Amino acid sequence: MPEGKPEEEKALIVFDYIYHALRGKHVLEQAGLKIKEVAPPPEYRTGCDLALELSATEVDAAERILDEKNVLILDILFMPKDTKLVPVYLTKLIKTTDFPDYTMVRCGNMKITYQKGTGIIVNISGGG
Amino acid sequence: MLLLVGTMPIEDMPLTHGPCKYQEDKLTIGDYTLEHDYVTIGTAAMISAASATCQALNIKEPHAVVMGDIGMGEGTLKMFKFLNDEVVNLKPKVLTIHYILPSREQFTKLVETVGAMDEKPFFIADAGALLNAKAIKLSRKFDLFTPDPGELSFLADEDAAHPAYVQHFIFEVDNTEVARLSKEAYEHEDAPQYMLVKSAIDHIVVNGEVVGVVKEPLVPALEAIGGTGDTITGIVSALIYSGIEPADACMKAAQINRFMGELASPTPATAIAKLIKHIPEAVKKVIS
Repeated sequence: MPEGKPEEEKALIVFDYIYHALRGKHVLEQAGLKIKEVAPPPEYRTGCDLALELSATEVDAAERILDEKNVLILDILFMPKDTKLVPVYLTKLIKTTDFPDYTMVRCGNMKITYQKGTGIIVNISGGG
Repeated sequence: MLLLVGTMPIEDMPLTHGPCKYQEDKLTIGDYTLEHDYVTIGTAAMISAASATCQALNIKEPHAVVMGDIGMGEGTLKMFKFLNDEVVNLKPKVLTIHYILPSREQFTKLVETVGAMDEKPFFIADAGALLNAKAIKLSRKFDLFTPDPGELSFLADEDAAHPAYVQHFIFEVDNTEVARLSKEAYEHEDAPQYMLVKSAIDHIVVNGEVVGVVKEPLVPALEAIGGTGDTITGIVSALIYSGIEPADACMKAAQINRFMGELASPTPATAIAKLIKHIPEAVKKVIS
């Protein structure tokens, strides 16, 4: 790992698959590291569309934890100081659409629609 | 012949084949009749839409091969065995495969048999058939896929062998993402010449490039209604069978599906069965 990075510099851990990105977030948070879920810039979109941003000074610790927990990473990138990454909040994957008497809940491409008040599911779409 | 193939989630449904005819709340396939909600279960929604379109165009009714399969795969295998024996004799002009369980040997055999036919049918895949074709690297043996954005995401991931494990997930389905993923899928030969990507904005893709989009009419409730993607596949199958050029057929199918929705004035609770009966009128709106 490069040494002597100024504290304010950020690094980005990128993954091949969403499963590892989600597990990586979990184990790093459990270990007390401060991380942020971000969408990598297009030029770094070699793996999955979710990456973890952390302080460059914590990269060694993060790499060790991920290795111990068998979380496979694709790469670690050190970002130029002023790089602005788009935060990704996993809860944003779940979206709701409000209709007058119904609510449609969408997660990815799956949609479940229920009647307000009763909670009865009236339609399921996108599960093919 | 327009030949439509797929499974139904009905445990005791035998191997069934023959001409099919949709009537309101009733779909007949050979000597088997599906009624009420069963008219739109699994592959039946696609077949009903194709039949309704053929009736509107006054062309020969489709022929279907279906079998019950509740997830064990036995129905899928028996259906493919029958097809492998009979597809050459049936001589389809258009062949559409829809809901199936994963299969390598029998599926590959069918694709090879179809590819060797003197007059190769226009070969369409949706849903399970599309995913299966990509997983075993046979996408280019098909002519048209009709994926939704989730399925497109799987096609675009060259290394993914299962749709639940893909590199990309689409945060926002927009024009940029559909165009990018379509191009990627085509470049590594995981997409056929034509694709109709079904979403809030339908995209028509030829050789990896978006050549058209369909946005209107916009009926928000349609997004909630299960089966509206299946009906597009049935409609486009019938349009191509009628002789319409494939990319044009994709545009028209997307429009017809939207007019079907508009004519039904649905709520998010409306069942797809209540929409299909409007297909003939929707066809007339789009095809004069």
